[in-house]
Amino acid sequence: MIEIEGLNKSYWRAGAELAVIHDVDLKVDGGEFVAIMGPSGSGKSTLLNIIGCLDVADRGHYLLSGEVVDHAIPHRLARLRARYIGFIFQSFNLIPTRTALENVALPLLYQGIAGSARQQRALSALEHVGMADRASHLPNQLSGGQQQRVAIARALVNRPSLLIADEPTGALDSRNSAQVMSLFKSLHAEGHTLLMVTHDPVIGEAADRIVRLRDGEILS
Amino acid sequence: MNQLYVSIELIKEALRALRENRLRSLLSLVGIAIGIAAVMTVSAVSSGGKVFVMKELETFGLRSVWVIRDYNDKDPNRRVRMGSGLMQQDLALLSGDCCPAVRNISPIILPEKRLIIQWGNRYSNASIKGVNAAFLAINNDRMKQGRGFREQEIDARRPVVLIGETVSKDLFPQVENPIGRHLRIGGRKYRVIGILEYKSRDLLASIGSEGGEDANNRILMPYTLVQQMNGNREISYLQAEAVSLQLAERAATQLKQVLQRRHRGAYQYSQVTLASYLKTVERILGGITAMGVVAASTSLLVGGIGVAGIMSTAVVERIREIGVRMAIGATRRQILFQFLAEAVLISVIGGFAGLMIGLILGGLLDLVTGFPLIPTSSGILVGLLVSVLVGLASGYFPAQRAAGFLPVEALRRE
Repeated sequence: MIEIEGLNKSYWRAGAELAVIHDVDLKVDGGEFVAIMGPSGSGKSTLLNIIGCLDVADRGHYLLSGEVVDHAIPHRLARLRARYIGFIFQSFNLIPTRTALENVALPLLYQGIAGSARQQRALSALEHVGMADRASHLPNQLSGGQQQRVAIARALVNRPSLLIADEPTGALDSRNSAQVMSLFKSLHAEGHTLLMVTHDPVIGEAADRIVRLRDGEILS
Repeated sequence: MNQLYVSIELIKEALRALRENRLRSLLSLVGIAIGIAAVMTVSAVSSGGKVFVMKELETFGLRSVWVIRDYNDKDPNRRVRMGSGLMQQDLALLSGDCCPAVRNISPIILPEKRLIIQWGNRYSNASIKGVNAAFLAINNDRMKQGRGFREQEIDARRPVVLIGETVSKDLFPQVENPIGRHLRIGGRKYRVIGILEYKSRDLLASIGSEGGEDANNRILMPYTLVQQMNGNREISYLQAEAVSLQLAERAATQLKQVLQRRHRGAYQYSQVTLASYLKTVERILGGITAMGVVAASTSLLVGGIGVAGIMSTAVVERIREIGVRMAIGATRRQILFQFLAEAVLISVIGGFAGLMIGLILGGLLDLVTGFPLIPTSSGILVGLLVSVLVGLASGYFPAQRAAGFLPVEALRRE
């Protein structure tokens, strides 16, 4: 699913080059649930963004589902995201003026899928996360946990091969966190590939495998 | 096909965004609406103005030319001469095939004395003109009732008259049909054979080019009778009709040349053509249009800047949403298209509102002032086209900016 070799990424801050990712190799197989952990500033979000095709590496190779990503241009990155990846963010990132159903259906719009099919697929994605009864609610009418479940439905609606979650429970209380994690587990059980960044060891426990990062390098 | 479908969906997204920011959208399209309304009004005023002026000028006959002695000739080498320099014999010469650019010609003879016009105990202060049978055709005059002169009535000095509407109202307020009645002019009886159709010269009268003469307060009679009253065979001036508008100046020149040759330069003549007035009118209307276009363009420019400003804020406000849309698979092109569509929609809706405002305003102005504002289809088309262009121009940079964000950075913003 993911094959990364010799990945490097650095930023320029105040005239100095700051290596964020340094010679990272990583392999994730289809159906795996991997947690990336590390202290803040360890480069885990940057790594996740590169894997999620939101960002590109400076050097190194990245193969996603057999497609060479490496230094793809923005247009190709967008296509790759649309095709392979479902994102789940810490702060849910639902569009506040749209209902749960509309939010979930939105990724399909950019694929040119017809309106009725969008509705159906969005509704079944909401069912999948147990939020079908809230389809016509606006995000601010939902609790944090519910919003995150809607966001997960949105990530699923494209039938992506890879789900990427950046601190998915970071904005949730422990009860809602547990709910979201159990959803992740059941998605994993269904065969989805999950890649999750977290700094919470309890959350990390849910994963099959934990990749630890420090100062842009993989420890284990 | 898929591309087209996505485009339509993105336009719907843009429409939704406009609805979600109703007030902002409304405010930003006001500028465009005013601009387009201005464009509309300008085009309607200029086309309406042209129709309006043409209609009045037509009452003189557009191909009319006048030839009159130039009394201002101050050549000290020439003997001072009395008279109009136009005689009965000249007319016969000019009516022949001397002047190929001339179609019809009529002498116009004004009475030298003031004549009392009455019917019973009712009086009229109409102006009297002696003309021939061709006069009506030259002037585009039509009969409301009765008929025009016949050649033999002119030649035989029949005491018959044509009267304008005002004369008819002044003298025959109660009479259903004044045709056949005899009115008295300077003590002589004249039979009314026709009533001239109403002529509007309100605009020309208001700008003074009509010399204060009411086109409807006039009496036409055979010129031969006026000559008889005046006791000479002079002609006050000539009015002729050129074969075409383009040949009007040439027609007048031909007439003048014949007259000068005949009188061996004893008189100088001046010419007036309606064609030259038309050019002036067109120049004035062109000037008004140009000024209007400048004003309209300015308001459109301001409107466009307004849209650009509002779109820029919208992009900044929605930067996170842009990031989300990118993360879930929107390409840069799709983001660009969506924001561009938003700007164009604002502009086109504004343009449409402007068209409506322009039409309503034009209608109201027409009602209140009676000045016809004629919206042209080209004006409407140009208005809509311009609003699309303004939308594209003002939306381009904000949309470009929206599409240019890196998704990671857009998502980081709060």
